[in-house]
Amino acid sequence: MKATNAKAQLLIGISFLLLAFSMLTTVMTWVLVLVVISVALQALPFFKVDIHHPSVRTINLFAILCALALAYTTWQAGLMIAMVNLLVMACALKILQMHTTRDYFIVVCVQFFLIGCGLIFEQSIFYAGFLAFVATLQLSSVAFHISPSRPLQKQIWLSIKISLQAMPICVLLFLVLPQLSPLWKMPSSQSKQTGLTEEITPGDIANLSQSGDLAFRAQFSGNIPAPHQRYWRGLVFEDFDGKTWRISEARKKMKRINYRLGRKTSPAYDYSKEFKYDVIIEPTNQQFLFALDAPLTTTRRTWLSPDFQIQSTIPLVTKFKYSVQSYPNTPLKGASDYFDVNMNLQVPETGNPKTKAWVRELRQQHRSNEAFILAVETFFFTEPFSYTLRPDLMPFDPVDTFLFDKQAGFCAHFSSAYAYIMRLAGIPARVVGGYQGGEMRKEQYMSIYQYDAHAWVEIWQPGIGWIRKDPTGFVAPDRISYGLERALAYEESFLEDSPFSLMKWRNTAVLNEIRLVLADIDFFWSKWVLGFDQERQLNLFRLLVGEIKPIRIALLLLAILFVISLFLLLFNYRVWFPKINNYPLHFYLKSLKYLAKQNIVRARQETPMAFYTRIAQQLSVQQRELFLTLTEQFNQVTYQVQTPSRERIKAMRQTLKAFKKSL
Amino acid sequence: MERWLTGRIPKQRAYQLDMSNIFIFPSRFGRWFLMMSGLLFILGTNYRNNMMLLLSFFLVSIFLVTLLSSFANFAKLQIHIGKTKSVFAGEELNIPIWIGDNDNQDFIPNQVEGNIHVSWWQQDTSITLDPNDFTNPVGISLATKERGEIELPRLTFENFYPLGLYRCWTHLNFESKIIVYPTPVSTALRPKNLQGEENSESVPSLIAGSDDFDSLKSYQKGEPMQHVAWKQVAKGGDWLSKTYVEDKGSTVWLDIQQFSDVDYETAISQLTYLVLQLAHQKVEYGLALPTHTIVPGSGDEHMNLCLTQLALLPKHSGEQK
Amino acid sequence: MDQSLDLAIREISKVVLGKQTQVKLALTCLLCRGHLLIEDLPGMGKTSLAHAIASTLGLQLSRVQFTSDLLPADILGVNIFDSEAKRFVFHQGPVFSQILLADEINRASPKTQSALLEAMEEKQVSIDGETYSLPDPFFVIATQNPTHQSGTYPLPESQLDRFFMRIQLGFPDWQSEKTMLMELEEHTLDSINNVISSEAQTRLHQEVLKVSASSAIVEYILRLVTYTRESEDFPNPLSPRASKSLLLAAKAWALLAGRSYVLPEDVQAILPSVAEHRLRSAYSDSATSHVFSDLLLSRVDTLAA
Repeated sequence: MKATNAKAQLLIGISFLLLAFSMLTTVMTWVLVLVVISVALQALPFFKVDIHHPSVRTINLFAILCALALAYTTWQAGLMIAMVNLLVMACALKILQMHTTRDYFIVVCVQFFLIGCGLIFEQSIFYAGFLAFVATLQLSSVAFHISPSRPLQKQIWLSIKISLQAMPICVLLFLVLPQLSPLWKMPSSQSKQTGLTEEITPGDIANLSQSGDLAFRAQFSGNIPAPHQRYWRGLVFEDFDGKTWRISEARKKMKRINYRLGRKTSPAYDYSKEFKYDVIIEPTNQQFLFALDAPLTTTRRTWLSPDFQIQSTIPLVTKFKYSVQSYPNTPLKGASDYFDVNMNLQVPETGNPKTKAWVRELRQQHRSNEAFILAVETFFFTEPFSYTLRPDLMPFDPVDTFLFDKQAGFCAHFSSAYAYIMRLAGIPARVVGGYQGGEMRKEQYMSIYQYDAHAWVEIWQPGIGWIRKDPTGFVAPDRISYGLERALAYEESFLEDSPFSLMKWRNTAVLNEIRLVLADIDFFWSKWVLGFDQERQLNLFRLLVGEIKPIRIALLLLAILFVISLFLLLFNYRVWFPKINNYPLHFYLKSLKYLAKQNIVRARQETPMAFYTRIAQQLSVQQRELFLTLTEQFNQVTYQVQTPSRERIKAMRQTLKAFKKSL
Repeated sequence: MERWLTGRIPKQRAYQLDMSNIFIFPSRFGRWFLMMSGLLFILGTNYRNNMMLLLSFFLVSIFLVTLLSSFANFAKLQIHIGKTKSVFAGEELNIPIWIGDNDNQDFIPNQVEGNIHVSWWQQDTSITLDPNDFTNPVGISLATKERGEIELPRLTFENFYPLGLYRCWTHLNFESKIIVYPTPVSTALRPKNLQGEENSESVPSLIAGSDDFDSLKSYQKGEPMQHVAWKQVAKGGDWLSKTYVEDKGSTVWLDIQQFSDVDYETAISQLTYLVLQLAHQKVEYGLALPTHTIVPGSGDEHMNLCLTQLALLPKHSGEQK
Repeated sequence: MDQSLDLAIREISKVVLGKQTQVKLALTCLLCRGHLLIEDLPGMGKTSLAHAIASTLGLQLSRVQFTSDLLPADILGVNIFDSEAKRFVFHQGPVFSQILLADEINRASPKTQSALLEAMEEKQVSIDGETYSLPDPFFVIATQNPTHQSGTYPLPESQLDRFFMRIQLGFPDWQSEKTMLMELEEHTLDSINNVISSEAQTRLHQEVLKVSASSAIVEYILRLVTYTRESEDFPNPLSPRASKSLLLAAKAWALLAGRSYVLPEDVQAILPSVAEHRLRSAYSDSATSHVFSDLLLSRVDTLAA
């Protein structure tokens, strides 16, 4: 059986190439090379180049080698990456031997599946548009396979038409089919985690600040926090080794136990002030979420830990939406003061001798905590500290070097040093990582970008709880009030590693507008498409049927089914209402139908005039005249004039109408 | 199955495909496609990935949308059988099938799209027609084994338009009287009456006529002037006249009784051979069969009649004699 | 309507009484430059019709009575040695005339028949390697007795196709025959005048070609011929040549009716004459009827499929 024609194969090859390259970050480079080679080999016949195709045995042997190579190279990357790579590789090899119709259809199916895989890694509207294009190519390829001799434009038009027809039905299904909970845990793509990490070494966040990627968006209802209030709490670092701040192991263990026991953190909220907002976070492959202090969330699959950190129960492989209410006046007081206090007094025994000495000295001068804190603050104000994205490396005794030697650094340097000083002075302190700032768009939503990443400090005040201190703000108040760009204006280091980022052109009005409109589209997309969930679905049902009762839902589903069937019938209306081609003939045949109702039937071989002559006596004078006119008009248009003018058709229509009336 | 099909698609010469005779079911690709959509749905649910869910619903919607267009396309087909030339047993019959579109002329003619696969029912080998590029009638060959009137097996027509997700098919049972003539078997044995031993009147002999030039002979007075070989005369030779031969056959009778020394079927085959020979020689011949007697005649129609009667002889009547 | 055509019909009808339709058909055939086969029993006026047409058109007519011993050379001509000039001289046969009346064509042997039919098709004659063109116009009006008469060689199907039209005369009606008998001496061939000059014939032929046939007509003709190809009821399907002839004849018929466009009525009128002899097999026993054409017309819808 000859498989399929070259055009179908070429199209499927092209779409495969596009698809594989769109997953550049996931698919291994050598697999991509394989894809290019196999598509090229497969496309050669189309360009009338004859090559000796590798035999099945060669390909099978090659496949085994490839599988081994794949197992070796994706060992580290995790199951999902390995699976996607395997799929791409298998498809590339199958393309080399598309001999039968079956082979071809396997390739088509795998490619549709690959589109789905592509969506695991990226879900932006633009990528969706790109995938729609790829899908159109694939459908056209199938159309070529089914009817080989139709021209390309017709095939593409056919696939676009079918896709457009499928759209409304697809949307309906999406809206009404129940959003199920995950059926089982899927292997997560252990691809690179983005955003903040579980440890913070001064200098880290500086790297993050070079990225103009979106971190998350928040849509507020009601109050919008002022810029200096936009502290998006993320991770709490409580373990310090003199260089790096980490999440403490003890804290992790405790969280795990609490989570298993289903113990929830319920601080004494102070409801005097409230921010209410939804957050749509970009996939990070990590579990922590961000919120203003002190958060309260009811979204499923989230959990508030005793360090006031909201966490997702599974790693964020896709965009995720959660709703938060934050009560900024709530004291941050955990369940166990003792635990918090002890853990946050720990300092490494060695290192940073200068700082230790300095703190000891300062502490002797200022016995009370308040005075000490003030003194430290004064130190930061008075010494010539500067805020920079290009700090020097400080490999040994970093706090000493920073405080007394370089005196230039980034938020992590300030926070790390500040928290260390506090701990040395016996004041419990910890570093908090998150984002500070956010760009408001038309009072609608706030975008928080990776360069908004920030680190600050919390110190413990007995009886009150944790209080936020931001040492960066002492040195660079602009960072807090106006964001990173303004704070770094003097050294022009903002996003210097990404010269093409639209972010850099925020000061060019047109480009900025484009950037913001794109952001709008993305926000809308994230909110309504990616963020559509059970809750929204239920809201929609409520909107449609009022109170939710099984019978009403059943009726709704029936109605939807009806609507879908209606769509299907509508798309094929030509089956019932074919396009009239020959109006004169159509009218004449109609008149014959009217006559047939009177039992006056034309024989097959009768010409219109012969028919008239035969039946004239059976008609009344008026009918006879009208039918004669109609017959003559028909004869004239059909046999004499041949290209009926609009007027003649109109005249015929009128005669027909009159004739129908006369019967 | 067969009986149910007979009820559903009765024997006809021409079919317009419609609700009553079209079967439609997801093709193998269609089933894979659905399974894949299901897989995407599960994956999308597990990853809480709405885009994957949308993709899965989109694929299902495509599946739904193509159902009706698939059917509507196939229902445009009009198929009928043409006249089939009889063949001899063992040869391949060529069944002419005319495939047309629904061409009511007051409406835009709708062309059937997508390759049409035609095969005999429950046979794997199929021929593929491209409706944009083929000529009527389509010849479909059928091997014949034995003589007689044969019953055409059902013909299966398949179409996968537009996206191969559905297989539309029908098993048509064409009404056709197709006679397979017996295989001619040459025989050295000439029927006795052919050799003129029994009744010499019916010897086909060469009778002088005016049909074919045979030879020259010296001119004799009284012979028609047209027969004079003028070229030879002009060269100054003797007067010669052309003689003509005409194989004006006289009547020959073929009788199956004369073939009693070979078995019944062989006798029929040999008779077939002789009928063909005699027809070729333009001899008038008659045929005496146990069931029929065909009066002598000549020409193609007569030959066809004789061959048909030979083909239709009962299968095992050797014992009756 | 063209006056000369009207006149021609009237002239011919002087000799062939009460056969208006057949006369018109014959004229149609000649307007289309086609050869005509007249089939009927002896004494029905076949020869008279041929003579009348020739006289009306002012064409030179030669008549050959076909017999079983007629040789091809008797029709085409022979090379005869001229002893004075010491070379062969071609003596033209009767075929070298504007109208050849081939009487009882089915009495001649197949060989002679095919010689004539080849000349009809090629409009030229080849003898001993020399090719001689036939005059223009060149028409063959052949008459044929019903096929089953003894001593006849029926024309094979392939040869019949070369005749553009085949008409049958049939017995005259009572009134016509009475008129004929009453005025016996008036209806002689001498009384016929030449009413259509050769220039007029050329012009009329051009006019026939100019008659417009709409796509509806062409489709009707196509439906007709396709039906004969598909249906088992028609042993001999109509060839593309036949469909061309049908269209041309319909145009000529329309011109005779004074129209500049073809109506389905025209097609129906000429179909039996143009198609019947191509549809039936040589051995069919149908001397006078139009079995196949009538069947065909009744099966095919005039308006739409």
